[in-house]
Amino acid sequence: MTNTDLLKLPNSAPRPAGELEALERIWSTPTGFRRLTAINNNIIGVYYIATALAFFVFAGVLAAIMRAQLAVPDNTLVSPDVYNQLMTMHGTVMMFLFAVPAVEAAGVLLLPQMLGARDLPFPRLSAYAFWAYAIGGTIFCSSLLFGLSPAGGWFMYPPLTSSSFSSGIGADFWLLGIGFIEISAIAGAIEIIVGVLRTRAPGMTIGKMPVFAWTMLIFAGMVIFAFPAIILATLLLELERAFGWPFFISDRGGDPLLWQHLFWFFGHPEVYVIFLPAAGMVSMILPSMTQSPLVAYNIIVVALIATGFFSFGLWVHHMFTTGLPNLSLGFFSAASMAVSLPSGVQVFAWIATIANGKLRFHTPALFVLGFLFIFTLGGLTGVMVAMVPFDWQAHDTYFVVAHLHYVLIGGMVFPLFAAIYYWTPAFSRKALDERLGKIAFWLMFIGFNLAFFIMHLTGLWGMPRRVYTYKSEMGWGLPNLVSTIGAYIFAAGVAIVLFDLIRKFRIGYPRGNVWSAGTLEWLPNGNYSARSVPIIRHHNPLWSDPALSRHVEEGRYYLPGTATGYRETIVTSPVEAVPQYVMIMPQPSWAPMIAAAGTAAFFILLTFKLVGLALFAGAIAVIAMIRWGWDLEPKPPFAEVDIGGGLRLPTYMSGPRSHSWWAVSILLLAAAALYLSYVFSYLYLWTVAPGVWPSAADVSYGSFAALCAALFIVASVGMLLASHTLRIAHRSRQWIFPVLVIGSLAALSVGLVLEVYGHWSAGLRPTINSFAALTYTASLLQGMLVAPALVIGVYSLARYARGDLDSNRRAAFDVTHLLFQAAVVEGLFNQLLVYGFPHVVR
Amino acid sequence: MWFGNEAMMKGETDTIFDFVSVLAGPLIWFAHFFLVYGAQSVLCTFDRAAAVPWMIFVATVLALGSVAWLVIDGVRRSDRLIPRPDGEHQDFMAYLKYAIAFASGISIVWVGATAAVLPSCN
Repeated sequence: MTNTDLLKLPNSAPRPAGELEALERIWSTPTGFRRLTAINNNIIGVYYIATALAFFVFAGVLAAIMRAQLAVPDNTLVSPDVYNQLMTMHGTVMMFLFAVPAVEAAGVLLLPQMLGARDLPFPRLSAYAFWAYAIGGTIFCSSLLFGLSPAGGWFMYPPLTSSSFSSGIGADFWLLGIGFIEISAIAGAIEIIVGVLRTRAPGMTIGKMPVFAWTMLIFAGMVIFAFPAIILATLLLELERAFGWPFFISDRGGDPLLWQHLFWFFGHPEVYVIFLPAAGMVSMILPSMTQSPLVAYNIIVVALIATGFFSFGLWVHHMFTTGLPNLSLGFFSAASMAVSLPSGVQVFAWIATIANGKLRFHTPALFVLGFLFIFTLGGLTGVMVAMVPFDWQAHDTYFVVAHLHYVLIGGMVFPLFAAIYYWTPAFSRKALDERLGKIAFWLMFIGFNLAFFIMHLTGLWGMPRRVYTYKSEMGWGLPNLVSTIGAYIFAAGVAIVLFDLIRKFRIGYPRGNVWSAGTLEWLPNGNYSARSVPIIRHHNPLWSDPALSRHVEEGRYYLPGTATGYRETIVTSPVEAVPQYVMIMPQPSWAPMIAAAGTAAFFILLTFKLVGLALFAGAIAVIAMIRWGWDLEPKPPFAEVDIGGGLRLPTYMSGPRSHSWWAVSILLLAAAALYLSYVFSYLYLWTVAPGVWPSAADVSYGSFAALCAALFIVASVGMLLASHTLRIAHRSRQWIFPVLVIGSLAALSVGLVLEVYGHWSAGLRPTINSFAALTYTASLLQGMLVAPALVIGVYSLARYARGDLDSNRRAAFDVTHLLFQAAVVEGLFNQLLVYGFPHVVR
Repeated sequence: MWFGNEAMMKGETDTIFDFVSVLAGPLIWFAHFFLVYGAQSVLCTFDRAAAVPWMIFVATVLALGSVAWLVIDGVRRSDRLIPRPDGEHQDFMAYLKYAIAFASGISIVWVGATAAVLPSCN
């Protein structure tokens, strides 16, 4: 794109009759019962946030019951077991069903409008992620009503949660339910990464991207690399509970500490996964509230990226009391203090922004100030517990409960409530009530500090966490009573906000830019986002060009109507935002919801050991997913379209520039993270119990290794040939492509089956020891790539037979190919690790 | 590519690698962190405590040297750039690259310095 092109817009010529009506028609939301099929981000995003708030209220009610129980000593309001369930569900629901989904939902809702896109690139995936989360989460919460909830704490440490000490299905509910919800979070993260990097408005270089988009990009990257660790952990613990594979049983070469490593490798980054988007919200709200640009944009971006990375070096600071060597603790203590630097930089930048402008004390500003006060205190106590000697004293006391609530409620809930007040006019016909908002803020701020500040002292006075009651002679009665009163005041503030939301929030033509904000989400918008896609030249385009809103609404920029007759958005390059092609987007469909319900049912039925029914539900999910993909990639009516300003763009793209290729590549990064977590587990258990590893002479189970590796390589070459054949397809040789694909899929599958048969025929059983269990787990993980490669491979062949797959329109095959080659690479690594490693170490 | 204006595509666009390259500093930090933690655990398991400080010293010097090169190279490149007409930082990506490398260097020093004051395996 040259500067000459940029100068052609805004276009002053009158727009053709019927252009806007056609745009509205193609982007219209289904009505009545079919509204459930909606996939627009402004609908799904609102559903998503509303559901997250419902889970917040549910977990809050559980907290209120716990606080009532702890208000006075020797209380018998709830039994110890019920208290344990309440405590576990409170933490689990707040972290997994409220905090992470709420920020992901904010991304789904805000990003397209903020970036100048029509929607996120995979709206059906957003809908699937939402329905999977809503259905799965609701069933998970309902377990409490039947007394089937987990009771092992939100971090579910074995051996307490192993089958010996938690024999009911509560722990299985947690493991399968949370594992499934994390998969849905990864789906959302893929959507966000591709959306942020590829669907920004032309000219919105990465250096002009709103800070919220930066934080969502980093959030999604962290989800991709951190969440696989918990998925692996839940898989391993469930395999141990269901089939006796001893990953965490020490007398068979396992180690309970492996769970803690995997859990906190996910768990600590998760704190920043929650905090960074909230920080992004603050960085968007403050400039509007002060009518002054954000100070030190560049430094804030550096701080955000540094925080995201450093947060992966902190996980052992949750394990300071587990007996690890002092030097190991030192590494994590140093990294824990290092992460406070970029966090501090952001706080100073926000203070400077306030100082630079004139702060208007509207409700969002109050919540932001509340955040700054509370989060800074939480950060300071965070530095205290990052110091190992202090942590040894405070660990597992109420001091830590106070610290984590200051960080999480201060760092996420207050910014989220600021965001609710701030962005409601951008999506709702009415803004929220300022007077009620201010009352709610003060109740929440005073209630919070009353409830949690004194908990620091309660902890220092010796009260341990997770106790259902205490004796009156301990002297903890008064501080606990104060905490309970504070918690109820806080809850009253939350109730006012929810009341106001129910009263005022209505989806429709939005109220508009009531704060005089400068970013794109405040352009007049409908289901199609903004009427036309502007060229971006500044961080705050609405401030730098006061006529921009009018010009955009009049359709004077790019893509003012529908160029192809379908839903569409402009795909741009990741750094400079140069327009590359027009992406045709899907229509509403039942498929994502049915697929999500099937997936949720699959996991829930497995919890109850109803394997047959679970497989049936899984089959429904797979069929719905195939249906979902079947009408994607319609044949474009035009090879190129004019999107305005003399710019013509292609309507289809395959290969490394296409959005589908990006999405699968990111999925494979998550698969790689899962595999690396497995390699870590393998090496960790080897250092713990090298005695259960076989000697080189004993590696008889490796007799099939060479044959398996050969089959994998043959399969890989076959698929490469198939890809080449598709590229140069000739009518007379159309049979070669399906033969190569079928042959390659068969070779890969046979290789995997032979691998498992080799272990079994050599007498290796996964229940013997941790080495055997890990050996079978390697095959299982490879199978998790082979299975989707098979399904999508067959799907690609069906498209080929129908004439929908050729040298140009080949995204379905490219997806299969990427998955396939990843499965091959993982298979070859497995041979090296499982058969080669014992040779090396013995 | 199937359709399209080849002229617009050639030389005027960028790739994901331009973006990922700015993460070189934190990736070095990541590699250093996991190397020193992992190698220390293995060495201690097999009673090689004496090797731990040396391993950490060498890894830290290498990691610091790498990020120092990133910072120096980034600053030099940034100085040679012509200001962009749109008022954006001369080259935002170059700035990001060396600034994040600098922050990574601070953390590498902190993590590596622990070996100087703490016992290797106790």
